[in-house]
Amino acid sequence: MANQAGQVVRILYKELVEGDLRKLQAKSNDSDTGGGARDFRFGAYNTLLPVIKQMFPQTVKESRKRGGQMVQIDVFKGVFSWTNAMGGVQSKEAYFEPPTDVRPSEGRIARVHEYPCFDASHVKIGAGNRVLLLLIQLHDGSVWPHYAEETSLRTPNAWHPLVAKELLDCLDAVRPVNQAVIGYRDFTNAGRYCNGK
Amino acid sequence: MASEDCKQALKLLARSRNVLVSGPPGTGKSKLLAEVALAFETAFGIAPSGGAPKLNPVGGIPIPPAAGGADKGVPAPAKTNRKVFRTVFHQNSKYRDFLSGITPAVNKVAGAPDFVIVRGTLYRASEHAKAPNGAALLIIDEINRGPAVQVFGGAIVAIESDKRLAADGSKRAETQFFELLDPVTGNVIEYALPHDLYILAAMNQADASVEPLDVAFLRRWEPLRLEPDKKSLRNFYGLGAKGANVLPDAPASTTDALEASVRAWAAVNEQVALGRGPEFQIGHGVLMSDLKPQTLPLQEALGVLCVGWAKVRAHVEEVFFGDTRGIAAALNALDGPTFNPFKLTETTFADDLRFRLEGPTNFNEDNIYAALRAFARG
Repeated sequence: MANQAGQVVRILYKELVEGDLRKLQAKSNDSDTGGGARDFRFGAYNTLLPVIKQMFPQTVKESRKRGGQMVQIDVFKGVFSWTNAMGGVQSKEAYFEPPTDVRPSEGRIARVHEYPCFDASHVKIGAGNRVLLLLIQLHDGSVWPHYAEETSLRTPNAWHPLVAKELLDCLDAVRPVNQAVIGYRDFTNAGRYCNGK
Repeated sequence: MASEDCKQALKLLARSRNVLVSGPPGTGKSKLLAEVALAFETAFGIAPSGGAPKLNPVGGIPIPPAAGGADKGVPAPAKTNRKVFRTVFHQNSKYRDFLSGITPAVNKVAGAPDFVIVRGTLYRASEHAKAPNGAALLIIDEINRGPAVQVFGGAIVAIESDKRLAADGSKRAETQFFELLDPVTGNVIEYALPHDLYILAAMNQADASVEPLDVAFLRRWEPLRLEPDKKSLRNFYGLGAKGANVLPDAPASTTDALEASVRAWAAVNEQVALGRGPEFQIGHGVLMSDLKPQTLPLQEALGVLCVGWAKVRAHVEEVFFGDTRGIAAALNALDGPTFNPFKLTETTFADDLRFRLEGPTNFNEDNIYAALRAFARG
């Protein structure tokens, strides 16, 4: 049997936009991003939910305002892992919030500026170089956030061919110009989703 | 991860391109087809391009190409445009549905042709494998339930691995062409099958309603035989290795009932193999389901066993159809123990000796354990 250490079982991905980069610098105040919310939003919540539950397998009760009232809701909880500058592995509890009344189809990862693994100082969004946030889940269940730049994905032999093809197929899919790329690929059951056609 | 059978099937496909899975019913043929399809398409559990996608956590590209060369145990390891095509043969399967042929146009628009040319399953799989970076796996279940030789037609020689086109699509000296009604042009053309088209078929030799496969057809396939597997059933039931202890008169726990089930199944298969041949045995899968019986209370577990054993009994009655003594022998009712709910009785009809197998119409929670204990022969 092949060595399963480090084996990727599923990838959840979404396109980063300039507003997301400002969130990471904790200075976002774009009106259409929620007035400075430091979170990454994931549309198609119901479609992505099975994958979200696998990446954030626990739930915790949190108080949130819904319909003007404070209520207890279930927030998905998992752990993000990353490698620090010294090469050591670090982990931190991560939370995925279900949709709000105002945005019923969007889930979100909150307070992204508090996670060093989301540091996007090394990626540059531009024409022909869209950037995808990848949540990479491994065989051991750990989830590792990373970025993927379009130019590197299009570089032959830079990425694993299955992963490059999956991400490029979704980047190249037809969608409205104002719609960000989002999707997932599950290598364990051939499950996949891409919001383009 | 991929099972050993799955990895073996992939290895044989990589080597021979055409693999024929055979085995008694319930040995996991269809399950294996589904597993190989998933592994081929998703590359999970197998090693495309030298390895499955792995994380490189220490900077640079997070999921780079795997180190090492192509894995010889995987079909078309470097191809990323992988697709699985599926069909099931039956008495009405036709060459037209598999390769190409003319069929009336249904719901055609005014002025359109009255006939269209069908793009059959093998043709579509072949065309996909001929596309850039393409590889196709064609799965044919129940291949001997239809007229396989007629359905393959002129392609029967061309499917052989050494009669295919070269990996780059070019013609080789050994490439075998056959005539095909081209769905694109409507002309009869010379056609050959591509390098990265893989065909995985399955058949059950014990079925009565099957078409014979001739030797010339069979030798173009690499065989992969599945057998009834006692270890799989014991693992499914959560049982360890078989002990030397005899089965108790009455089950004290769910484990006792499951142990009786395994032993009875093995003993019945032994009798079937002796009486009708090993290909007529019943596989372990017939007693397996989504339910884990070892997690159930005894009475519920007995109820679950009744469902599986109704199928085993039906199989025994089918393979020994018209042979009452054969059925009785398989169920240990010839000179079996007194607690066996089944008994062979003799009577006369028109001065002729007749046998009759007497026993419960159906298994239930009250009679299943005694039956299994009797079938198990100790």
